[in-house]
Amino acid sequence: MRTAVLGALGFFPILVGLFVAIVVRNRSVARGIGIAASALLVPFAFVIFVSSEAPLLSATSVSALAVGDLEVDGLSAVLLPLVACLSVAVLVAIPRADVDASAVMSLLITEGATLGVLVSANVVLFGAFWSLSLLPMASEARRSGDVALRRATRWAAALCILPMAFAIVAVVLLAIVGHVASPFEVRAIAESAFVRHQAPLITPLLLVACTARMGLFPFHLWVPVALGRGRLSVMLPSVVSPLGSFAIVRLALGLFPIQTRAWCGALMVMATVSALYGAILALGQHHARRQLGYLWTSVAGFVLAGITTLDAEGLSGALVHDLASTIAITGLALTVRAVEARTGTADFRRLGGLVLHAPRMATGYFLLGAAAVGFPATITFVSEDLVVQGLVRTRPVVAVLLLTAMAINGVTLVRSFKRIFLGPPSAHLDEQQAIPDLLPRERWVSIVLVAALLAGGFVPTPLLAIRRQVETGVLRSAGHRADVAPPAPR
Amino acid sequence: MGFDAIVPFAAAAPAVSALVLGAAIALRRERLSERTVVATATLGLGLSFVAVLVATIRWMQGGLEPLDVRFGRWFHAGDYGFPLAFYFDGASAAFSFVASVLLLATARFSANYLHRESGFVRFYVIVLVFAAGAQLLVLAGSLDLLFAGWELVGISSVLLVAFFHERAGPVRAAIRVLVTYRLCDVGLVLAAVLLHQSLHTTVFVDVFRAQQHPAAGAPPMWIALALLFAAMGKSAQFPVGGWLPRAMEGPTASSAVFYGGLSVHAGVFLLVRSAPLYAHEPVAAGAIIVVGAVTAGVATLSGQVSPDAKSSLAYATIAQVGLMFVECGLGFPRIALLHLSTHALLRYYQFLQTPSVLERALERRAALGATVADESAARWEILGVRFRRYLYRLAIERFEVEAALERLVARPVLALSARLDRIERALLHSEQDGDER
Repeated sequence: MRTAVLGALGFFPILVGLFVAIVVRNRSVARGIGIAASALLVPFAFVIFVSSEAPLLSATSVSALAVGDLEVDGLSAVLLPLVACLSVAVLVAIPRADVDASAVMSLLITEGATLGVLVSANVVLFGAFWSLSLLPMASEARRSGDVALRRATRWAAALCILPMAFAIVAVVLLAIVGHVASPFEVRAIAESAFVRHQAPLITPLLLVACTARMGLFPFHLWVPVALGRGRLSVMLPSVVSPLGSFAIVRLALGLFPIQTRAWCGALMVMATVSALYGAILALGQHHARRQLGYLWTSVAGFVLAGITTLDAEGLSGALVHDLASTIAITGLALTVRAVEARTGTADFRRLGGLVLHAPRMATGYFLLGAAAVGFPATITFVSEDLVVQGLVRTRPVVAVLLLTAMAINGVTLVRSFKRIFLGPPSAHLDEQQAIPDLLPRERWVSIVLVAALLAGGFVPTPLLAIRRQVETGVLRSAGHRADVAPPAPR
Repeated sequence: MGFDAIVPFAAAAPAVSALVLGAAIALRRERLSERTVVATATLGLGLSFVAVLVATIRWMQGGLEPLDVRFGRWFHAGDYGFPLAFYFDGASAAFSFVASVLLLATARFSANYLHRESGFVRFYVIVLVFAAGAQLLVLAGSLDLLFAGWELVGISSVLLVAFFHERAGPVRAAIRVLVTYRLCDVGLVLAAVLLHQSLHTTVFVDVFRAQQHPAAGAPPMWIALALLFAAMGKSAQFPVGGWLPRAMEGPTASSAVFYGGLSVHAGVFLLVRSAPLYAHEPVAAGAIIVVGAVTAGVATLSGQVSPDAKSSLAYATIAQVGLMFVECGLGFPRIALLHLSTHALLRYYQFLQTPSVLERALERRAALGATVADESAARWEILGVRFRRYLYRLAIERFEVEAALERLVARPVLALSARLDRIERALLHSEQDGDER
């Protein structure tokens, strides 16, 4: 039963997506099927989440495939309902004009591939889903004929897919040569001393793929272009990007903890530069969606810094921050798309004064923006605090630089709020033009996202507890306790 | 713990009222009536006032010993836990009491003042958020929790400056306030980071205890300087104080409670609260004195040349707050606290009076049959004409501080952003393919 459920999480949306693309011609029907299929997965994802506490839920291979163990642990259990819920939210709230059969297919394939990555305990399956999750972006780039988007897609494919593919092929070959009993299984490979011995060659490949997927400097170029130009770009922060941090913990730290640890210094520099670079670039942007792209790079830097502390506080904070930022930036992207659908532009220079027509939209944008930058009473305040605590002991300078980046991000988001919603109405917009406020479906999505961020902020303990077991395992395997002096009691 | 547990209710009650009003706005189709809004806000602020009174009585019953109220940890990971600690002493009692009274008065005053104003509900929600933040700031038992209150106070200030959002001026002023707050807030976080690094705690009781043993290894000078930087932002001290006169764009009631009464004094409160940290640090104490004294001088001169009543009052406020900084630096935090409490009440009243100041002046002139001479002008007669002209030019240009900050900080950052953006676009040739819509 569990095998079927876990398998369905990955394959069901993909199959429905293909069905919609091939059979359905009507936009409304396609959208309805997409929402129904996506919504169907939500209770399953929550059931798995609830039942994923120790003993960890695991399942044997999907018999239809020769390869493939599926597994859920504390690390992925939280992300399953998140991805399922955000997928429904995107399908419900995205402007109807954006949703045709091909768009539904793209969204469902992306969702299925992401869920597939999260439940894969098999490296080949992991790699296949990992690559598939970028396919919709490639197909949109080809269809739209936007040259920059096509270049960005090629850039993403080269950095996210190729290194991952090389690393997985190398790992499997080494596992076969090293006579590992199950050469495709993450756990079996992790226990092989022979494979670990070759890790210095493979770890950098994995790290490049993961950091590129997270949108970190200098591999970030594809993110602002994809977010700024793609029609379905809202899926990027919501569904695709969190896979990068997940893969660092699952594969890089899971398979090669010691070698990954050796790279932590370089990764910390990368994280700090990303946080500041993304923050400075976001500040000067004139296009709301492109700005969100750079903001994502900045936030990803913060997340990576937390992971590379290899410290319980930092790792815990980073994983929660990734999750919370995903929710907040998805909400912001949906709101910006709603603005764009009503005004025909996301260029700040052509916007202004929308709060007069759309006060609820303005309020939603403001609250989501506040949550994205660690405002008190939201979950990001908790996660930021944990990441900073993780950094304080060993890298206080990095902590201060990251907080400076977060301060700039706060200014950026309030400034963008001002440029879109406040001030006199834009001269570029027709004074008589009716700009409706959030529709009920958009409003409810906005309310749920804000409520989730507030609930996590007020009661963060359950969210932190669910991953504690996995984090402890990761830190132990990375030798956290071995050579780090125990901290003074607080 | 007993009745001591009531301390956090002073912050929680307005927060709950704000949440109730926020939820009602989000979920209801009809507009909330003004009467309901005022009643909900008054209830929250009234309960907060009662909580402060009860806590004050408990504090007095305990022989004026500070109340150290702890509720365990809000969240934890690894060895770290965020302590839910509250601290109630003389400073908390004075500031909390003043805050409660002024906020209740504001809620009552605004019911008439903002009657039928389109942002009526918004105003009350923001004031409630501010009340929760101000009380949390004052009653926090740790620097971490104080920071949460500090941020709530900051963001609510920004929102009220931009209250009349359909005009460009208030919105620009709000962004100015935000930038100053956010940048100076880094000082508060830096202080918390340094405390965690050196003492592994930011709980005031533990920090003050550790301060008595210098071997603990805390770098108090740097912590105090970081706190000073944070306080300068919130209390509009030189050279980052240019935002306060601009912040008068908000409704009179909010100007009174924020920039006459409470928000502008948050920096002074921070210095009063952290006085043991710099008491034996001459460099830090000297820096506080210099900042306060320079601010007092500059603000006095700027206030003399201000053409309108609100700006003039704003500069007078900055000057007085500068003197409070001097008092803190000289080692008289209690005098600073007394100065703060009385000044907050006086300025609050003066700010509320500003809309009718012209009418009052005309009434007085009619009663006296003559215009009263500007006494302050006479004081400058002892200076030479050239020097007076030089000072006048400096004062009218606000000592060119804002222009310098714009030239040295804002423009270079935005120019760097634009240059990096051009490079990025060139790398993917996205300029040539047309920009985003």
